[in-house]
Formats: sequence, structure tokens, C-alpha cells
Amino acid sequence: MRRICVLFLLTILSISCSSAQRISPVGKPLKLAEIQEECNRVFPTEKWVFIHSIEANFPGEKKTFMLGVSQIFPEKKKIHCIMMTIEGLVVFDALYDGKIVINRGIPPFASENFAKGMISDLQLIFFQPKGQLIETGVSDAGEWICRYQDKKWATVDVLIHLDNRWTIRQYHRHQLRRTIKAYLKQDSVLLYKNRIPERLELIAHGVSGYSLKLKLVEAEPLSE
Amino acid sequence: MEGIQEKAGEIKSVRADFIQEKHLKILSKPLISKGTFYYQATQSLRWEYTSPFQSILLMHNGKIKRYIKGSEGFMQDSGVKLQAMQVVLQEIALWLKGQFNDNPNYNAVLEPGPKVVLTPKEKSFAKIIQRIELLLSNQPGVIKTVCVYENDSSYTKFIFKNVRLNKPLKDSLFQEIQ
Repeated sequence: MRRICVLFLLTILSISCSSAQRISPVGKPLKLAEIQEECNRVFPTEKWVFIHSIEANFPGEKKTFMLGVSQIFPEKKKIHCIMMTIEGLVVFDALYDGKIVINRGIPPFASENFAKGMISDLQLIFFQPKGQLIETGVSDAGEWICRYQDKKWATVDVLIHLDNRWTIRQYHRHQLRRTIKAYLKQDSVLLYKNRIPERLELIAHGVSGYSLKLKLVEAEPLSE
Repeated sequence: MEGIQEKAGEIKSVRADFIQEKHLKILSKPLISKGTFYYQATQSLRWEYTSPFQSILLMHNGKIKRYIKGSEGFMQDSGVKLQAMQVVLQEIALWLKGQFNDNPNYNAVLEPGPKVVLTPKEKSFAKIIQRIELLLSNQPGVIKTVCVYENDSSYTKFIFKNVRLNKPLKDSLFQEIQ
């Protein structure tokens, strides 16, 4: 009886902690391939430079605005990230190429933790999730889902909505850490192999959570 | 430099359009922003961006506020960097009065052009801004361009056009976003 109680409690706990969406399998292999292809299209395969205007919201209803320049190299998983004030003063400049190098940081943007968080958020937005694709299917609402998991128990769900928007959710040990919502530019499907979202919303969950609203100012493919 | 200051002392108000070019090594072409600025002697300033986003920075009676048009209309910026902006805006107010020597944090040198080159005296500040170059017009109180160098590959150039001097400006321009 005691064993049953413990088992019941564990089941309840795992259900209450896990808010990851239920995935229903799709029977046809062709459909499966189509879903995986759509999930892949969310992440650029080419080199790009993106310029975004960023609206950042912090606890205590604090709000600030910045400009962000992100140079991404998907094949090498390399990122060069620059943040500046609207007047053009660079407050943060960091490069990730296996390790983070901060080229410039003006407080409060000078800390290594800030750099780690920034690079990690950009990786989640632009790069194919780390780990293996462990599940592909359809949600109860009809969204297509690809689920990736790495060795450190981080799970990433990529959800393709019926209207071509997409959502990325990152969990760590079943706790939701990040949500990214991407809103597609009308003509981007025709223009590029990958989808270039016109707007992105990132929500960092938790007690010291924050949210970022990114609006695309410019997108330039890199030739070399 | 004293001659410039004497003539610029006659300036009561300035209205000008500006083009801001942000040059970065990783950008193939500069990022362009445009807007208008208004100045009223002695310390009122309105710095307004119209593209690629809308933002209004107001300085009046030593108080500074910034508003940006975001997802829910114009919203006030509560960022810590506003303190830094206060310093920059007060600096602009000094330049418009021709008082290039009045900030003890910079060394000011007048070069042919006429061009004023400001270099920070403190090493810690020089890490943030290497130097500022102001290209002056022959018309007193008018600055053609301002270049703020963070380093040799990263700088911001402001180009001023359609400058109108000493035209009456409403006080509300410096207090309200309108």
C-alpha cells in the first residue's frame, strides 16, 4: 500500500512539473518527414547578419530599449553579438566560437553571466537544438511538433502552428525555462530558403524572469 | 576657440534634421537612423528619431526622459543608461554654445576644418569613447557633423541638415512628446 502511495505521489509530481505538450504520433513516414523539414526551416542554415530593435521588460515593470546586431554562422555554431543604445553607443560586444569572448562591456552589460545568458538565448532562437530529435508528431491543437533532448536533460520543443508562426519551448528537467514566439514576415517564405521572422518574443520564465520583444530592422545574408 | 564661443553665444535656438550612421566592422553598410533635434538655450533639448523606429528624448530643467514607440504605443524608457545620456545631452548643449573647453573630462583641440577634437582625459572613460570629432560650419553655432569614435572600427556619425537658427520654439516641445 505504501509502495502504491509513493508511486502515485511520484506520478502526480511528474505530471505537475511537466508542462511539455503531449505529442500524438503520425502514422505516415511521409508526413513525419514533412514535419521534420518544417521544423528545420525555423533555423537558418546560411550565414546572416540580423539587426533588431529590442524592447526589454524586467521585473518591477522596468522597460528599456536597445538595438541588437547578431552575426550568425550556423555551420560552426558561431555567434557575434553587439548591443547598442538607440544613439549608437555599443554597450556589449561578444563573440561565441566554442567559448565566449567579451570584446566590450559597459556595466551592467559587462558580466560574464549576462554574456552567457545572451549567447544562450541567441542559440535557442537561431540554431538547431542540441541533442537528438526524440519525437515528432502533432499536438492536440493540430500544431506540428519536433522534440529534441540533450544529455543534460534539456528538452526543446519546436511547434509549427497552422498559420506558419512557430514557438520554441525549452525545458530543463521538465521545468519551462524559455518560450520563443516567432511571427513570420509575409514574403519571407518566397524570398529565402529559411524563414526570417519579422518579430520575435522571448520569455525567460522564473523568479528573475524577463521578456524581450525583437523587431527585425534589417536582415542581410553573408556571402563568405 | 574663444572666437567661436563668442559668436555661438548669440544662438538662442536650433532646429535641425539629422542622419545617424552607425559604422561597425560586422556591417557591410552603416545602419542609418533619421530624425530631428531642437535646442533652446540654455539647457533644453529634444532629440527625436523618426526612422527606422520612433523615439523621443527630452531634456528640460536638468531632467531627462526617453519615450519609444513600442508594441503598445509610446512608452517611457526606465533603463539605467539614461544617466549616461544625460551626460551626453549636456555635452551637446555645451557644443551648441561653442563651449568646447567647458567640460573638464575632455581635452579640446581646434584643428583646420574648422574641426574640434575632444579626447577623454581619464583612461577609464577613453575605453568607452576614444574621441569625438566635431566638424563646424562657417555659420556660428552650426555643427556639420559629429563623429563619436568607440574605436577605429566602431563609430557613430551624425550629419546635420536643414539647420534653422533662432526661430521661436514652443516650451512644450521639450516637455511633452505631443
